[in-house]
Amino acid sequence: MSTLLRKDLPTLLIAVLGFAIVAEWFLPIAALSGFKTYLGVCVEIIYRTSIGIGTVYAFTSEYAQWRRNRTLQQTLISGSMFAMFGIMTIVVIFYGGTESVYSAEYRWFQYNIYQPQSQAMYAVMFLFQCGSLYRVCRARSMETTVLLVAGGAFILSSIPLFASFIPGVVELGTFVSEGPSLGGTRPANMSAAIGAIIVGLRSLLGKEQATMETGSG
Amino acid sequence: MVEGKKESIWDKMGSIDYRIIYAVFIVMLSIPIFSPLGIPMKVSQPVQDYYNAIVNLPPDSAILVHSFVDLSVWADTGPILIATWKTIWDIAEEKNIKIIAYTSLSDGALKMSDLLLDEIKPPQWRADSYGETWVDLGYIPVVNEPVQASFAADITSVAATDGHIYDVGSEWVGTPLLDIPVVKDIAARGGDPNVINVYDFDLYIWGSWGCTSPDQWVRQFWTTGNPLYELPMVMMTIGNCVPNVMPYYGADKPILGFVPGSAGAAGLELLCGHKGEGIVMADIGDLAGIATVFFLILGNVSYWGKRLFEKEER
Repeated sequence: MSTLLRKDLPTLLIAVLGFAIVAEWFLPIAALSGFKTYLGVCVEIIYRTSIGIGTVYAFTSEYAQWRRNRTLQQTLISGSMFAMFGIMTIVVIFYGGTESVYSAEYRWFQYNIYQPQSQAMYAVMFLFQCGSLYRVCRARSMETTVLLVAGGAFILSSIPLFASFIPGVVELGTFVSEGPSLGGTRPANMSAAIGAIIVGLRSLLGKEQATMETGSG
Repeated sequence: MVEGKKESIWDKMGSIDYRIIYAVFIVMLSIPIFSPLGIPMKVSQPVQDYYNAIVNLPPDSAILVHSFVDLSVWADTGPILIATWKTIWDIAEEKNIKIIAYTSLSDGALKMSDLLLDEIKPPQWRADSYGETWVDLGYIPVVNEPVQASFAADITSVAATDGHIYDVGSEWVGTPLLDIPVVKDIAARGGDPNVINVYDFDLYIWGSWGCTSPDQWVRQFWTTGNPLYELPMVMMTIGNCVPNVMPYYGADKPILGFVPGSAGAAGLELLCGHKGEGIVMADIGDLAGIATVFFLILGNVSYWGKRLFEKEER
């Protein structure tokens, strides 16, 4: 692939579109706002397309896995995957649109498969977490003691009975949320934001390799 | 454990079989389903603020309502949505509060269409004035940030027409948004009467069980725009996400109040006077919490007992 297609054209597109979006924040021009809105729709289309490509990739990789290892166990695993892919593909293609989601078939799928399955999954996860809490959350060191106290305070403050009748529990839970938890989250968010700005600027200037590569060249 | 050595009481306390723990939780969680206990509780401040933000809206306000439904977490979040809509419907007609509602997930669209015909049926004056005092746009997938950005800047860019499916106000389905009187009225409140965007609203009621959603919503509906949107919000969420909401919660912050999970929903039900599943779920939360704390203490007593007393024995 030529450098023009591999690097120059994507860089130019990213720079033009990116600077237009950034400019919209500083300049109150209606045309820029409209353009940004239009780009948002384009991004959504690209996003949906990438999910489709990802599904195809997952299908082919599972198929390759089965070809490498044709045991009964792998056949069952891959067969289940393919069956799920097939069902989901049918559901998405025929009932995934904003109007077709109201169909009787999609309603049946949501209420009789999706909801019971997903709620059962979370219920099992809850039981697993409770069991893990009992085994793992022990005051073995300074760090785990702090985790136990902070977690315990937050659990107690989240439960209506304790929050209502044990004095100071809500205040302690609020302190954990607003103090140590927030203190830990804010620097992480700020670091991520600074990193995002740097990556964004590097992308706009064509310096960020990860956003430029469109092929192996 | 050395083979042949008898297990001490501390060992036994610290190594209860998973199946016993699971069984205890299942029994505890099942009790309120068969017989609600009505364990007394107090309303937390964020829930009180959530309720106040809705009922204390000034006359002629406009609210944007994201009917947050995800069937996978319906047990925890459904009671919040139901109590919220009941609170909204209770606002007196004289206050002339205008509403634009939507739902962002496909399962939500189905559930809302059922709920609005049954559990959260609008009062007769609202049903009669569909299109004039409120409108439900139906399913609009406003989940990702680029779509949210477009939605905030111009709602018609992602929802061109009224797309709800239930019988109430069905004559408006398919009507271009700006031809609907209530939308036109709300659009006229902001700068350009031909554009409906978040500048036109006084409150945004929304929900999500994604713990990074508060960051996302605040980015797109508070800190974006020129001038900044700064749209006041109240939020429905789950208990786990409270630490992520707290940075944005407060009277002078983007999120004026929030309802954390079914325990919070129970508080909202008490405030609005419509008792429902939230109360039952609060009982379940209480019993689950008691069991959790019990096993947490048991595990630590076992650990410290073994560490302190068995060392002395040796």
